Amino acid sequence: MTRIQRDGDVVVLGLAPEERTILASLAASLAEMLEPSSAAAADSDPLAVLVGISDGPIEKPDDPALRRLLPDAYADADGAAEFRRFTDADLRAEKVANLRRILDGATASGGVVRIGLDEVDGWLAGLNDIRLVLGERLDMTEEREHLEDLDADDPRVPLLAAYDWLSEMQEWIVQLLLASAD
Amino acid sequence: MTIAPEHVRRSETDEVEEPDRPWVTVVWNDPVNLMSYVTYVFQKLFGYSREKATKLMLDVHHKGRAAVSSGSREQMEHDVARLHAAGLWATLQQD
Repeated sequence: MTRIQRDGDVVVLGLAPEERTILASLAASLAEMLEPSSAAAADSDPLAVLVGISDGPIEKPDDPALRRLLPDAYADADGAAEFRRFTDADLRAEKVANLRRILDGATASGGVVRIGLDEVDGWLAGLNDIRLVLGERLDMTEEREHLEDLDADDPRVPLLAAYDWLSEMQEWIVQLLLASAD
Repeated sequence: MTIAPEHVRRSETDEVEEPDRPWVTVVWNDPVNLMSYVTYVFQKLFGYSREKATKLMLDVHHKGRAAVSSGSREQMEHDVARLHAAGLWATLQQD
């Protein structure tokens, strides 16, 4: 069971070995999903890459989970495409950086992760992005299924178990931060 | 009070946007985001009090959407980008 506590300006996570493995693998695979395709990068104008703006249109992701992480900012397609052209690279980079931070924490020696207040928002956003993807894969709705309702051999069991665990972790970290904000 | 000289008046055909109508950032409900996290994000990004952030979060939850900020188009694009970075589902529109 993950232990979470606050030590001054640091949130301390105590992760069991199997939890570290799961967290690291989820963070690494989502970071990989979010990396822009290498073909697109090779085609791009280097100056445009430098300022984070694409010189051509950026396709909306096919994967519904990625569409949830990188949503349309405008209801109309033209506005959404233009916004995506200017923001997609930065948004992906920020999300990947959050996930790398989680990956580093999960693979650090000892299983105790100390998260400074300056990086805790990145952790929360990264955990949230992982949960959004798991939620999409599980077709999560407000009337969600619970672990105890599923058969033990249901393929959704490991995803739902990870989802619940990360939800609890995120909730505890937020509660620690909200409590100290009062 | 004064009127603009003729040459800087907006041309009659240039009616694509009405600058007086403010833009708003709208956050949409989704089944994954935690209520506590959404409240935390509203406090952190907009500097809202716990009360105001909680009320907006509950509006999103119960009504399916809520306008969380308003201002210029540029400001709202910035807010939407920050909300997307935090994992909230947000759009902007002219009010």
